Amino acid sequence: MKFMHRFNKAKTTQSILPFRLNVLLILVFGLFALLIGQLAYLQLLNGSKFQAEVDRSDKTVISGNVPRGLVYDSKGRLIVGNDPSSAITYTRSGSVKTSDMYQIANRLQKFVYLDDGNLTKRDKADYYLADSKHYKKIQALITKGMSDDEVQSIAQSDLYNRAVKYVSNHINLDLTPAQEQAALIFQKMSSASQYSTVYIKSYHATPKEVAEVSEHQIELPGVQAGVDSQRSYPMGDSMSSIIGKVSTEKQGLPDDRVNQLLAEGYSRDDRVGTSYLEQEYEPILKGSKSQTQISVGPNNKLTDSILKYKGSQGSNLNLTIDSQYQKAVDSAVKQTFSSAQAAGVAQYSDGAYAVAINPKTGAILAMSGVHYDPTTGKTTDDALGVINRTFVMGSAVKGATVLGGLMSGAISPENNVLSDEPIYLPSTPVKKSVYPNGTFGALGATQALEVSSNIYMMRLTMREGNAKYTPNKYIHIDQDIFKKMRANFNQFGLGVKTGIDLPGESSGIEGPTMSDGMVKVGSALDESYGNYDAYTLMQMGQYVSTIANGGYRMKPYIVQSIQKSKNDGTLGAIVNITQPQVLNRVGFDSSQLNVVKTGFYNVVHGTGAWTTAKDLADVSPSMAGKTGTAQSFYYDPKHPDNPNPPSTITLSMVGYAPANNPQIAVAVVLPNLSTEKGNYNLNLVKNMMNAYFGNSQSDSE
Amino acid sequence: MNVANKRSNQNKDENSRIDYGVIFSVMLLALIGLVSIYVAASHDLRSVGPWHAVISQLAWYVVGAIGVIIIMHFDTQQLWNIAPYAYWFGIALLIAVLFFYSRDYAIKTGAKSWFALGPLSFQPSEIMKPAFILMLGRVVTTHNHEYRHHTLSSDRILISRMILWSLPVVVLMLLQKDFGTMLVFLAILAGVMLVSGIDWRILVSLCLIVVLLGTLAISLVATDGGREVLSHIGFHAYQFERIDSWLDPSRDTSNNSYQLWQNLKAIGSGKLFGKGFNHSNVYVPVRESDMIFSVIAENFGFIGSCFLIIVYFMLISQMIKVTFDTRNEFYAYVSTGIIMMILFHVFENIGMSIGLLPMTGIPLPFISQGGSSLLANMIGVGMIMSMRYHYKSYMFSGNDFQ
Repeated sequence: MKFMHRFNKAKTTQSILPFRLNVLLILVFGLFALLIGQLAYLQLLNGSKFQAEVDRSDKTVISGNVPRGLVYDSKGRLIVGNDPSSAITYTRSGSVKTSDMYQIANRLQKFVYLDDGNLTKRDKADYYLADSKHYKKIQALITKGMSDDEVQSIAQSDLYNRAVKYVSNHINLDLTPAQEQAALIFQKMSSASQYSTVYIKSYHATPKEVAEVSEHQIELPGVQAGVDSQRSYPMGDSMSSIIGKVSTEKQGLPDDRVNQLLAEGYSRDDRVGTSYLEQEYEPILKGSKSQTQISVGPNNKLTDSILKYKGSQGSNLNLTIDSQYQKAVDSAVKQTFSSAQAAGVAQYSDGAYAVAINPKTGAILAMSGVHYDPTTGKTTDDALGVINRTFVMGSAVKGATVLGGLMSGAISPENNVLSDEPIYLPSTPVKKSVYPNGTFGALGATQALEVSSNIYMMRLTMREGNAKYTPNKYIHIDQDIFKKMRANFNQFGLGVKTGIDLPGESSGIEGPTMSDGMVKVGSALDESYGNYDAYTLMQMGQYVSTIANGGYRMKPYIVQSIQKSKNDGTLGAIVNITQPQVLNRVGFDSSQLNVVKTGFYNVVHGTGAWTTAKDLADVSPSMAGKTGTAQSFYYDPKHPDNPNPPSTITLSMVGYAPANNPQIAVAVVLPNLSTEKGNYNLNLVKNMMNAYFGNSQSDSE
Repeated sequence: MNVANKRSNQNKDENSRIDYGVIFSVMLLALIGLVSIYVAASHDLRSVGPWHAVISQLAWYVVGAIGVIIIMHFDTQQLWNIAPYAYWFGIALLIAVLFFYSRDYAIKTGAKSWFALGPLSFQPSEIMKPAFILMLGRVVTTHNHEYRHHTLSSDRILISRMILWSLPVVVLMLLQKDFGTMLVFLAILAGVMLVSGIDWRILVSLCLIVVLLGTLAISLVATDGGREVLSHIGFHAYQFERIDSWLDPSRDTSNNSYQLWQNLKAIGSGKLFGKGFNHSNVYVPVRESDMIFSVIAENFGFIGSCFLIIVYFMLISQMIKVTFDTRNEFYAYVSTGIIMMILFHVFENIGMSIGLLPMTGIPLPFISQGGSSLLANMIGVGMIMSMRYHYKSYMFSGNDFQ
């Protein structure tokens, strides 16, 4: 009744007010209930979810570097070590501001002197703007005439970029030496991401610098004295081209692999093997980083840090190479090449290369090379040339040709005599051997190897290719003759990658097989005695090892075993020993092999006038082998169109010893000499054999 | 004996004139505020220690309390007389701030609404709030005395008068780019309209219009085409970003939604009982002022948050009770304005903290750090106190308001 009464009288304010105030109270109640409802939803229903979110996002795992693994030779001598040295590091905490870093850099500059690094204009501008007074001033200048709305609409990063541009163009950025130092330090500090550590002075900080930094620790938050290490090579650097390089702190990750490496957990300034052994065995050498879980409290303060994993030092590599023997081979190679230089026959040469392999396992005993650049006249160490330089090797490959003929049935151990008449092709110089025409009327396979008959190899190839020969007429030969010959060579490792555990191996170079729709017969005949396709010296080593060990193509390897380091730095357990690996078995029988082995033995121990390596007959224990001579022309980069380029001779040799039970197989090459005289290939092999057996004798004594 | 009795009577008299309910609620809020500021300041890296922040806030409370006592002694006539002066003084300050706003502050926050005098900063719109409330109360009261009975046409005049008096404030707020504070004034206006006796039909249709406009605005903001239209009108990208982060706080937690997401994490992880006093492991930017609720919710959990809301409810219901008790029409409008002011601040601030509403820069009354907003609220409290203090003079029988 009263309610109705009020409703009817609802035209005066005074009577409406109490009711409306109650509506207001209900409104307040409703809105507050809404708040409580949403709070219940957040805190009661989803509280655990948010708690999990808090726990997740505020913990970070940071990793710390561990020493890189070392490299030892087969006798346990250290080849590659780590040389620790004092360094100055900076760790960026979560809450540090640019202006703080600016101050630290200015203070640190008094104690530390950086002699490397250069400042770009941008770096200088960054340094200039890191002073907040400067930044405010520049900001005011570049936003002059803009309304506040416009300034608001510019993103902070954009504003900063404009400021940098303005500073580079309008401000004199000539820094005093002290400022320059501070700018260099600032540049390094600002490259650190949150909680990461960078080296301000990565190597050879002086004891004085370390002492002063430690003394002023309090005013230099984040700056510390630490340890940095660089690779050292206590056995000299003759093998440095095989061992390869590690990127420096400054270089950081190599550009071409940066994304892959980042995905593998590297950080941008990590050291990583960038070439050869260091690159190939990177996962083993790098070790595993220590992991520390840090908890980040409010305002990005570090509240807690727990070492989750201590990390482990990189494992060490034990090489198959004996550094003593390696040194001997090195000096033999250098000596041989300098004697060729002294004789004046090396002006177009590429240098000299040698490799020694254990033929039974494929273990590399030594690999060495010098590279000569005819255009500059400079000689450089180039052991790696053994696997990445290819040369036309000449007659040294004839063992594979003869075994191919035997396996194909073109000749047999019992019946292998072929005519030694020179071969006449239309508009081609006569195809003959080194010795004068008519020296031999006909030759067996063994003797053909001993005197290095090219004619025998060509006739054998013609027989294999069902060729019909009429002098001075085009020879029709099977279309697949190249395929057949190369398939045979490949079985021995010639023209295919050897599979060595180093990156960057070449597979050799194959010449063209067809010309005007016809098989290049002349080239096919050249191929038979090694004067057409080009091979690496490592392939030659693999080929001769395959003959020496009875037909097993062994994968060459340079790392004998992988050994852990204990945390105190001493050697730990061996985790992996490289097992010799047979890549393929060449299908000759022992009587067929015997033909070639006898031939190779006679190359050294034969008594004929044209026996090619009689000089090596006195090597003890007695060895077998095959020499090679290839003719080619010097390609002069300065006169590429010279119609009469200088002709050159490549001298090579493969061999093994002892002949009856080979323990070492060697291959050498001296490419592009000016003469075939001088026996440089024989001398080099002799030195290598003597050094090897002299060595093992003295060791066993 | 007689003298003593008289004095005791006088004391009793004085006691009954002071609204201890309101004082108690405000003191509770002050305590919660000081504790929260202590927690916020001790977890955030800053140049001054937590005690410094607490003591300076306490100092503002003392200043505010003095303000309350002064205002309490004004009676309705004096307040009535002051209203236009206060209003125009406030408008003058708002115009002045357009020219003399603190440049540093504008760069930091984007709002041109602060004066800075040395270390002191001060927001004139805070002074404008109580002045506006007084003026609105006076306008409505005058109107209702002119037109004893509400008709649709008289209501229309009333509404246009109210809007006319609000318009300068709203426009000035827009010029200052202080959208949040503008909403406070609109909320006050809406509250006073509700109690001013305007006919239901008008109120309902106004409500409908607001709802319709709101829906339209949200649908514009939520679609790309709509945004294009809005940006032509002059809205800024950051305003859209705020809406985006409100609609989906976990989408972009590193940039636009960082503050909100940190805030939600802090509040959510408080769970039922909270992490305990001074236990905070989520960093929330500016949590000493606008984001102070996250501190309370993280430290004291759902229970603590509900307690805070109940205290606010207690304060508001005390205020309404005073209004009922005093039965003065002018006071009723003023207290409604103050209630709306506090209600809107609380609802918007907590609402944005818990993801119910988009982010705006509005402090939590009596709790957030900052002098000028505390002063505005304390002036409001002072005016409420003044009702109880003087209500005997307006005691009068009957159910109706005077």
